[in-house]
Amino acid sequence: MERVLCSQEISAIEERFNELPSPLVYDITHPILFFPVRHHSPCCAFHLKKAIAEYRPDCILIEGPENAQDLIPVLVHKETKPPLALYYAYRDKGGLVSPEKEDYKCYYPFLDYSPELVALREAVARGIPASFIDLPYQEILIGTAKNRGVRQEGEKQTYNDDYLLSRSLYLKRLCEKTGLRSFEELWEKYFEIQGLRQETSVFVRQMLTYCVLSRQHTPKEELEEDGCLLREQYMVEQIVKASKTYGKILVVTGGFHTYGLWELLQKKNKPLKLHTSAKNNQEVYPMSYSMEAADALNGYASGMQSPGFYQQVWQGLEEGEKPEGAYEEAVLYYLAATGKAARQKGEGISSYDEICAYSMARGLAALRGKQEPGLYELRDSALSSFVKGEYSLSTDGTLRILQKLVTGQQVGKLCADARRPPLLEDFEEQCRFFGIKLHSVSETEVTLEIFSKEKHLRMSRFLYQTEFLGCQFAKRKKGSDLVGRRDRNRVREIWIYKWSGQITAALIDASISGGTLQEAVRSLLYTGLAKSTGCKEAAELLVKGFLMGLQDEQTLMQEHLSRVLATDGDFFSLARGFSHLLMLAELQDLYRVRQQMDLEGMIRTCFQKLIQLLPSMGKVGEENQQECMECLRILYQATGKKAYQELQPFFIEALELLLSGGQPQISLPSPQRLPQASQSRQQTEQEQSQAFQSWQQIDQRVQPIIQPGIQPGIEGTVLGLLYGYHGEYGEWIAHSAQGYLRGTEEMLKKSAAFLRGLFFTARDFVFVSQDFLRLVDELLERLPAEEFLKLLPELRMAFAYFTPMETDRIAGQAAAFHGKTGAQLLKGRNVDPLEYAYGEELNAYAEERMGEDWI
Amino acid sequence: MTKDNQADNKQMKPPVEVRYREELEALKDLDTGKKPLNWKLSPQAVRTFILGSKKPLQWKGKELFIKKKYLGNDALVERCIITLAGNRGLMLVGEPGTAKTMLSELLSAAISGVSTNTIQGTAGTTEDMIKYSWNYALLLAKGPSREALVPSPLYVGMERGILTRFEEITRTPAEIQDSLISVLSDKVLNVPELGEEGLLFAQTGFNVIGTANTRDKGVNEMSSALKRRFNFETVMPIRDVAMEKQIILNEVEELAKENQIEMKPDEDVAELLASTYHELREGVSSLGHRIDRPSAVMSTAEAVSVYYQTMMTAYYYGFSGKSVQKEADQSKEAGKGRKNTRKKEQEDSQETNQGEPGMDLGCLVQNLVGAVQKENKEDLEKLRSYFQTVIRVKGEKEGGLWSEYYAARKYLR
Repeated sequence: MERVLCSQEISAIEERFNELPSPLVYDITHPILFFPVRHHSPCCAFHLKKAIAEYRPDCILIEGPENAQDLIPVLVHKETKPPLALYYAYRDKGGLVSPEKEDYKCYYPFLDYSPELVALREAVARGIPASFIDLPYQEILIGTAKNRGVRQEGEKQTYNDDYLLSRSLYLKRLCEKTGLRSFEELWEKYFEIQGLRQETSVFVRQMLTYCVLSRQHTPKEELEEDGCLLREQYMVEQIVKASKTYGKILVVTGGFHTYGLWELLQKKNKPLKLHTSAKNNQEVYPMSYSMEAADALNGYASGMQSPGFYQQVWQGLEEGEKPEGAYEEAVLYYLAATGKAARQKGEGISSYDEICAYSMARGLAALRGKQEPGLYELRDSALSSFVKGEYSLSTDGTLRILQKLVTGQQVGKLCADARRPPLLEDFEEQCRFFGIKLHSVSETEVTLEIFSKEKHLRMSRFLYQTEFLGCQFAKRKKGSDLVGRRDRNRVREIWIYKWSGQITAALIDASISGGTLQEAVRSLLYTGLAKSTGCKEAAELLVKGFLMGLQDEQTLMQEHLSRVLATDGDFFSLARGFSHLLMLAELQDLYRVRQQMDLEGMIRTCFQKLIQLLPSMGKVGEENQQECMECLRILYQATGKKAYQELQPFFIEALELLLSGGQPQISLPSPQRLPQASQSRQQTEQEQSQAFQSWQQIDQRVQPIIQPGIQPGIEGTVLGLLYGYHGEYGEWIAHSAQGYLRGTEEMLKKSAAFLRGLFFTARDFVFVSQDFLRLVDELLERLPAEEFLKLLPELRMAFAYFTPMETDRIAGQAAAFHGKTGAQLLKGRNVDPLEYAYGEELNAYAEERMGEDWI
Repeated sequence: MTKDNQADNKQMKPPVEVRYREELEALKDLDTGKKPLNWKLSPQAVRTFILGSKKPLQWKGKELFIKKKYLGNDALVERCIITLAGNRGLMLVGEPGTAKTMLSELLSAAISGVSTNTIQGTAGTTEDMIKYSWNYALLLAKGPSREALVPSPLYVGMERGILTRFEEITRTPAEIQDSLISVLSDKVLNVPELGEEGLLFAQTGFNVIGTANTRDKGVNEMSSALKRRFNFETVMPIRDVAMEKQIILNEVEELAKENQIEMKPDEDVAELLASTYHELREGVSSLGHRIDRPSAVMSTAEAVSVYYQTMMTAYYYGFSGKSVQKEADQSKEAGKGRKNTRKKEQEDSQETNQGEPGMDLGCLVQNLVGAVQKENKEDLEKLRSYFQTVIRVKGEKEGGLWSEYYAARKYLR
């Protein structure tokens, strides 16, 4: 069936093909000559050069977004060296692409052997005009469906659409039938290697047959969604326009479009209306690119693999007299280069290995019916001759070297007067200002005294800005980490910076957001704030903005933050955000960033929300226990500060409600009666003892209402905090502790978690009276060994909050309960000499009976 | 091996050149490619012999379809062929059961017409087994002469210009392995006892195919000097379940044909087994479960033998496929009377002799236990938990054979 289908299809294609008019089958007398190419194909470039010489066009039209038209002189400049890329960016402010109003960008890479670049260079050499004829980038975006064509997500966006040639089902069958591994191998065998030996007209014909087949296997809907049809319509408009001025036009486009263009050319089309408003929000820059970035294996899906290898082939074609042998030369070159590089790295590759590999490559080419060995034979021969022993991570070093070599290491260079994004200029200027040496590949360390030197603070802000933009230029090695809330006590920052090509790329990427670092950072920060959903995330961004010294337009930031605050209902996120805001309020003078926004107001709003949520936190899951405990402590610490002391009563009330699960407590000390927090801890042991005694008399009045099923760790934490406010809460602790420690078996098991919570916030409670320790001691006595082992991890965590001195003290007291002093614990009882002798005897007897074998 | 033997076709496993005599002859007659000296077939024809022909060959008035014999990596086969045409030996390395031996047999049968010129490496292999030894009676009677010399397969290979296979080369001690070094580089074997006539120059066409297991216990590392004389090809286990299933079916069919077992392999059972082996080897199931991998080697060759054993049991003891199904259903419902049913069904099938004999999944699981539990007791536990998690879920989801398979877990002990 399959066979029948294929042959039917092929004959249909051939019929179609015979009908094709002359411009499509390489008729050099026709006023329009279509030349189908695959982007980055040396063979296409080779034949294109010949075609230009034969056809002698008056004008060359090239597939490429029109808005890069004025950059052509840069691309063909003598000083400019590929690999290069055109960088297109578009900010969809008007929501023309999608209502989300996102930013878009893509690259259009050019290698030395890209047919488009070859065409441009030839045009310059012949003094004829050349122009890009595709829709401007923004229009392509508008005409493309979501997740299709240039709007595909997840991979590095490129303008090239060679994927159109390599995705059809027909192709898969073709690979199976020819016994080749992939489209790339098929392409190399039949187009690149074989193509070099063909006449240009034959090559074009073969190319076209394949492209028409590919196109026929692509449904029209797909073409429409990819924006292909719209683009083709525009290109045809440009061709028609040019044909009015020039007698002979050469049209260089992706082979996939050739047939579509010709079809459209036969019809009368309505002119396309472009979106004039979109024009202002687009940018296009030339940038230097690297072979590594251009390699299809590195996420550049529509390019060719291993550009370094094909670059070598292209050089051979340019230098050699005949195209034959270019591939074999390149294979030989890379085998030798790999051997040399491997020897330098200490891998034992000999010249004989290289000879064997070369003959292997030639033999494989012959066996596979290829005229010359190509990339796949190169790889196979290296695998076979260079890998000694089983193929594994430890033996494939040579193959990795080869992979690196065939990818190529060249980095492009732009001519001096190329347009550069202002962001890059700003970056370099700031580097000069701070005395940062650029283009040095070694790492440099710098220590910044940010609180004493104004310039150092500014440099720190600059470095934070580059970090925020993803330049991977500088990294803070030491210094306070305000976002992660670590090392807050450090007064100096140590940074390490290093130049890399990545910086230019990141800055060009970010240039869509602004002309200076400050602008770009601010715009990205706002976008982040607008997108953020949680208070924690938003506050973190705010902290970053703080570190980067963003001071203006804070009202806008405040607007965003207030919105987030209003919508966020997550206790943890709010609590973290709260602590960030507090920190900012505290540090603003130190960092010389006077916040114009109403930090105080936001802190209070945040606090309000937290207080509302607090009563429902009693039953958080065990996995959130630790975080909840920490959040509670943050709130406690905040309300302990002078500026927020008036919030204390509300917090205490909320804590009480948390315990009871929403019911009002018959409160011990009413919030109004509360003494100053600073005085609260100064109670006497006597007072504490009284608390215990009064509990033992079971006084209804002081019993707290505890909601059933409350998380014991949280209960302990809350009680500890309350105790921190007022000593009388000690009674509540005693009550709850006895409840757990003397409760039924299940409750007993929860006591460790309770203790952990309690010690987290009020470990001093242990020392005020011996009663509590006695209670814990009782617990340990009561626990069966097995249960004890289960509780041990949590008990350890509970006691880990004590300092070593405190632990000693507790141990001493515990020993005293059992009639021992601390020192006695370290000694065992005295052993009678007779008893010792008996023990020895017993031991010997057992050993003898068991025998050596038994052991 | 006598001619009579071949004619009777009673060998357990006839060599490749006998099994595929017709194909080899056809390829030779129709071969138009260039042949390296002393090769029976051109590299293209060797490739076709191993990787199959796309179209049937027209030979002696009939159509002959060359079956694909080695499933897996086609490029590897091509590299092997080219290596053998060159100056270096070919070393196939990899985990046990990845069809290295089969590939080396296919290569030597196609290239030299003989796959039996083989040294079988063991820990007790000595240098004279690799080079030559003496017929001591003749040696005493006539003194050192070619007549009294007993040639090794290596000697034969050099003398006749054919391939010599060296199986399990890493099992032989390293110093014995090294006796190959000078032979491989100089292509000369010196027999000092024969004096001036003692130099044996290798004829064109001679080469060595070695196979080596890398993961097994008791292997010796090869010296780097020897490694340099070989091109290494690492044969990876099959990573594709469908392909593994196909290999099981192909191999079992061949085995059945050789042993005159007239029974067609069951594709569904092969799929079941292939996926079990695949999942246990990869450590992750098709549904995403993480699985403890047994320490035993879960090779395709093992899967073939498990399948074949089960098939033989079915053939000789004659369960019918239906009976298993019924039995499973009944045992689900009643949980008893199993033996009676089986007996009854057996009698039925013997009496009426109707229907194809089918495979018993219980028996399959028993054989699986035998294959997995070799070195380590924990492996059985791993297999059991594999059934408890993966097979149980598959049984619930897909039912049919999978739930039967799950029901057979009681044999996991």
